[in-house]
Amino acid sequence: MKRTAAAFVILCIIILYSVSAIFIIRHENSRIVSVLDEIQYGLDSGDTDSAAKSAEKLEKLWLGYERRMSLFVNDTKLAELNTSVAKVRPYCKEANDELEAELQNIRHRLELIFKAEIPFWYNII
Amino acid sequence: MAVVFIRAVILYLLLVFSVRFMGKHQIGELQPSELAVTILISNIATLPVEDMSMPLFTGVIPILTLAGLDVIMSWLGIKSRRLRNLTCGKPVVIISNGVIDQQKMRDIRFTVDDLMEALHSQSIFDLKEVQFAVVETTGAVSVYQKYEYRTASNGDMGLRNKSSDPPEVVIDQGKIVKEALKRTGRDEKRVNDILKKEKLSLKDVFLMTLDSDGEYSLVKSDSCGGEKRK
Repeated sequence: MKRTAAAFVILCIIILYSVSAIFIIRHENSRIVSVLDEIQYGLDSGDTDSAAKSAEKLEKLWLGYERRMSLFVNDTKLAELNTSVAKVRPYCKEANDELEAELQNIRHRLELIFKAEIPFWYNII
Repeated sequence: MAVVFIRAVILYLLLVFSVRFMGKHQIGELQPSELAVTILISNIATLPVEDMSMPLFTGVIPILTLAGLDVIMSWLGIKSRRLRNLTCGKPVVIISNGVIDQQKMRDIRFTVDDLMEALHSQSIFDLKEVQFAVVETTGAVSVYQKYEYRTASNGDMGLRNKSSDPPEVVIDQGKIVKEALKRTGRDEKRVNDILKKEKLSLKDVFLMTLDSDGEYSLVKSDSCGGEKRK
C-alpha cells in the first residue's frame, strides 16, 4: 500500500512539474520577448543607441534563459536560438536590414518552444 | 566526459530504484506487461546518456512514470480481477484428468513441442505421468503428476516430526542480523553464549546460522583461520 501511495505521489509530482514547465517557459519567453519589443521600438523610432542597449540586455538575459531552459528543452533548439541572439547586437550596431528578420526569427522559435510543451494532440502523436 | 559519467551514475541509481520500486520478480516470473515495461525502462535510460543534447529529465520522467504506472496497475489488478485478466491474462488448463485439451492449446498457440519442452524441463518424459497441466500467465507451465508418479513424501511413508522454520543467518560478516535473530525466537544473549563457548568474538565470525531449536552452524572468517562447522 505504501508503494502504491508512493507511485501516486510520484505521478502527481511529475504532472505538477510538467504543468509548471509550461508556466515557467511562458514567463521566461515573455521576458525575452519584452526585450525584443524594446529593440524593435528603438529601431522603429530610429534610436539605435537604445536598441543597442536593449540588445546588450538581451544577451545578458539570454545566458540565464539558456541555462534554465536546458532543463526542459533540447540543446539543439537552444543552439539555434543562440545563433540568432548572437547576431542581434552586431546587427544593431551596423543598423543591418536583417535585424528585423532575426528578431522575428527569435520570436517564432520562442513560440515553438512554448507550444512544444503544451500537450496538443499533434505534439503527442 | 564528466557530464556523461555523472548522468550515467544518476540513471543507474534511478534504474535500481525503479526496479526495486516495481517489486521483486524473477525474470522468468514477469508478466508480459512487466517484462515490456522493464525493457522499455532500460532502453529509455540509455537515451540521455547517449545524447548529451537531451535534458536529463527527458529520461527521468518517463522512467518514473512507467514505474509508477506499473505499481498502480498491479494494485488495481489486486482490486479488480477483470482488470487483472485484461492486463495479465488467465492461466489456461491444457491437460486435465490426463487428457490434453487441444482446442485450448490452439487458442493460446501452444504447440506440441512447447508442451513437451515444458514437461521435459520438469523431468517428465512420459505424457501418461501427467494428471494436470496449466500454462500460467507468465508462460511457464505448471504440472501436477498422477499419484503413482509423484515423489514420495515423509507423510506418505508415515514419518512424522515437528515442522519448524529453516535456519536463519544471524551473523553476517561480524554483524548480528537482528530481524533474522528475532524470527528464530532467540536473543543476542544466546548468540553471545555460543560465541563464548566457541571462544570467538563477533568479528571472528564470517557466517552463523541458527534455528528455532537452538541448533547453529558457524563459519569463521579467513583472518581467524577459516571454516568451522558445528
